[in-house]
Amino acid sequence: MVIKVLDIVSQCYTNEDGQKVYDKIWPVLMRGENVVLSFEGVDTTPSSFINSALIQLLGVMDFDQIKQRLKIIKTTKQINNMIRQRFEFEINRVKTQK
Amino acid sequence: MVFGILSNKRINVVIPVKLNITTMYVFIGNVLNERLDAKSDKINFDFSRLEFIDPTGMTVLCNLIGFLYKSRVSVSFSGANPMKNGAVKYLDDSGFFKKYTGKSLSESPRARDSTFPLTTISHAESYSWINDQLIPWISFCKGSAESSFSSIKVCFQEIFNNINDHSTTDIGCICGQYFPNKHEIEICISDFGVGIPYNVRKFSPGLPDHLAISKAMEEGFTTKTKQKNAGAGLDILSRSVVLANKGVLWVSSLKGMVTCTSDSEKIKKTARTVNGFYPGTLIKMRISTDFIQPDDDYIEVFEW
Repeated sequence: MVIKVLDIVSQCYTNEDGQKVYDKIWPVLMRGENVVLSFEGVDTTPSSFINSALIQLLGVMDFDQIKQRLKIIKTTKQINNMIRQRFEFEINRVKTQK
Repeated sequence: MVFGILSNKRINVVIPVKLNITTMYVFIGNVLNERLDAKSDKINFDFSRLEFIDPTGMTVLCNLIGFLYKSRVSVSFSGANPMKNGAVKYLDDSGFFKKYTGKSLSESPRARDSTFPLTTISHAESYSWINDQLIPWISFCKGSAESSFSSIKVCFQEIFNNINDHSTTDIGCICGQYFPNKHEIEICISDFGVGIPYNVRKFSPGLPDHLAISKAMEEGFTTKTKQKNAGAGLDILSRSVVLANKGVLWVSSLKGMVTCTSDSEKIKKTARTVNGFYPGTLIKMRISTDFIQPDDDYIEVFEW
């Protein structure tokens, strides 16, 4: 299923914006379907948005499942770096705590 | 929140010759004590000695006077002559006197193109304001066509989200100045909230203010003032300013200050106790226009 973030929120800015995106994608992933998440029309995303929209998924799926089932398209360099950086930190944090 | 008034005898506060991040502490201490009680219910600000005010001084003055108004202190100004005093003219051109007295001192004040005028922005307004006001001004300073400047944009998105998530106020006062000779932009944004150490000490009791700020800037440290916070905002801010834009970042809150500079492609954080206090959080950044990079327009492919 293709989900365009700007069809859900008017801006990718706050925790609340991110939560709305999360609420759309996690039920689809939970049904076992793949999600293609499009950031078309978005140039930046701060950490609050990414934490709520995507990092929360680590609470319901493992990272390998997320990588297999969630495809992210039409992003910018800043968005890519933010997503990678936030996932990398959170995964390392969990590893350190184990 | 209600704060006290310590006297009903009018006091005169002389604004220092230079009002900047170094002199602001003594200046604030002349007006408020550390419990945020005003020294008097009638305070006059004397501008006659002022020779230089930078964006930090502007936001401090703006927040301080706004706070006094809220505390029902009667505020007056004296010694402000824009014809004789360049710093007063700069304030007038930036809209300071119109904002607080309803009238400019000059007949036709006009902010210089190199100045980003004093502005008070709420979190709700901030997203559009960053896109429509701040980024075009930075494009102008850079001398390039309007571009996203995403590494700068995300700095301000992180700052406003941080104010919204952690402060007792959701309003930030902001001012910027471009120095063409130095190829530098200085921007300061500040609030009169509870300050960073206040929230940090709920989780790390006993930390002095400067170490509490430093702690708050570590990636992953969160006070969870909102459930989804992950403790990334201030860390990303310092990375964006210092590493991506080769700039310097100052974070001042209560009795502490942390300065972030670049050291061999890493961030060097210097934390210290200041002689005075800042009632809230003040963030100042200095970035070189030589290093700000407009974004490429193309869409990237994301790979895990």
